[in-house]
Amino acid sequence: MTADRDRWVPIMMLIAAPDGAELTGSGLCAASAELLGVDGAAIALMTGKGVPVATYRSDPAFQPIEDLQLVLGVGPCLDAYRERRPVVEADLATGSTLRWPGLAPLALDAGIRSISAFPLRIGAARFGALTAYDSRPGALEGSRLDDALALSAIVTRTLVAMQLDGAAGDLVPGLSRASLVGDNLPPARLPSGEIDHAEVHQASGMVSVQLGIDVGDALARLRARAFADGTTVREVAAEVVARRLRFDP
Amino acid sequence: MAHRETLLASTFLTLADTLVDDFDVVEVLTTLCGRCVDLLGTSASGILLADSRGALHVMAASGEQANLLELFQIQNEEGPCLDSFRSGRAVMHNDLGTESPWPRFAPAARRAGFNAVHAFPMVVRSNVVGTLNLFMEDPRPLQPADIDVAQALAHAATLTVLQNRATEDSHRLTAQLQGALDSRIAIEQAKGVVSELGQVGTDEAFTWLRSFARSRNRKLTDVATAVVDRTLETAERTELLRAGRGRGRSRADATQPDPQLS
Repeated sequence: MTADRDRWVPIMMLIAAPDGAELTGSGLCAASAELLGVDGAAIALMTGKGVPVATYRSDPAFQPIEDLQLVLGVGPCLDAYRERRPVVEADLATGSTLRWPGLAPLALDAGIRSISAFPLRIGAARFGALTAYDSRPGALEGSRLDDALALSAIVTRTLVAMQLDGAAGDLVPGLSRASLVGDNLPPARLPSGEIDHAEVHQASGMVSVQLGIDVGDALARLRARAFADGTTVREVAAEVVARRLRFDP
Repeated sequence: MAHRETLLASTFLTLADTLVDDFDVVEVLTTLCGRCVDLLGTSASGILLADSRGALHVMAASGEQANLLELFQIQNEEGPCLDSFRSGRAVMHNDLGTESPWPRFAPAARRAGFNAVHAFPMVVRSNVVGTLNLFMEDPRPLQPADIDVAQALAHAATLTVLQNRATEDSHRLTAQLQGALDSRIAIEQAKGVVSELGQVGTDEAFTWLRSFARSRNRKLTDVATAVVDRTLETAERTELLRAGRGRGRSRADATQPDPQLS
């Protein structure tokens, strides 16, 4: 468990930075790649219809392959987003040309043999995809796959928090550098973020109807309101569910 | 107690069916929670699953009342479910009016009308993945036979989660748990959408979603995702809301037997 825990420390340190100053998209990608033991990672944020709005990567070298996927609309990254499930291309050197035309040659030229993409989602709300690139063939399997899935959930919640104020500390209450450096908080036992409550998801659904927007954007509006009012997302959500608060377009 | 044995047998038969048929994990676990109430004479029951960070989330409950869900949420800090999850053992408290180790949970449970609470661990190999929880109005212990039934139902719930076809791409425990939790979140989001469209409470919205999914023979999670995505056809959406309203006029649905199980 100790070795396991140690691998999570760098990314958790990054996310828990008190002022959020150290938390950048590329930093998050680099820490993700390190955790997963791959050469590089990228994060693409998309709108409800799959249009990319922001992309980050651990290394500029991955930009062309990421752009190609997003511009052509083909590749594991887009499929993971659309299908809401992990999509793995274990070896681009064998037989993937039909599945993703144009992708394999460019990837191989860039020294990429395998790509694993994971949806960034909270329930039915989609935010984008986390993609791992590696120069070695092979799918992320076993405990590395477990790590990737846990990482996707954490990255999603971190990005939702960053949308507003750049500080993700409130995402995992009680999490601080002190508690990470100490011995008593293995990463598998981090407390739940405040957005992970039933009424927050219910309120997101209600606000998405009130404003005619995507449920992911509705969650951002709830967070923005909580921030502006100096209260918590849970409290705002409870007001919405009780129909004491409406959002008007 | 012949009736109970029949009911128990039919419950396990239904769960066995889920191992071969395509099924929705939230739907089956919700049915299972209802059956706990019937079989054990409890007032309410619920199933919590842990996410990859060890936080507990409501997967299913015999009722969707806010006070019941709130009781589960408190348990990320303290409570019998959390204790059972951490220890991997059954935690039974026969009278919350007497001293309990939970200064926040116990008064909240009593305010909600529950005076006894029992939590049973859901275990896969040596990992505890969640708990099955029973709430009772009367402060009384479970009989030994009831304890056996409750633990068997907790095992059945565990198997259901592990057989979840929604995460077919990976048979790993974490992937299956994450998939089940995402199903539940999608349903909460859909409850919000339907509640706003139909101007009803979120518990009523859940009933509408569930009966619509059943009448169309579709998975609850798929219906929920389509509702949230707005990919449900207009006609279907109208039907969901209309059928819900129709049910509302002649409602005795809470006590009707499950069509799936009878």
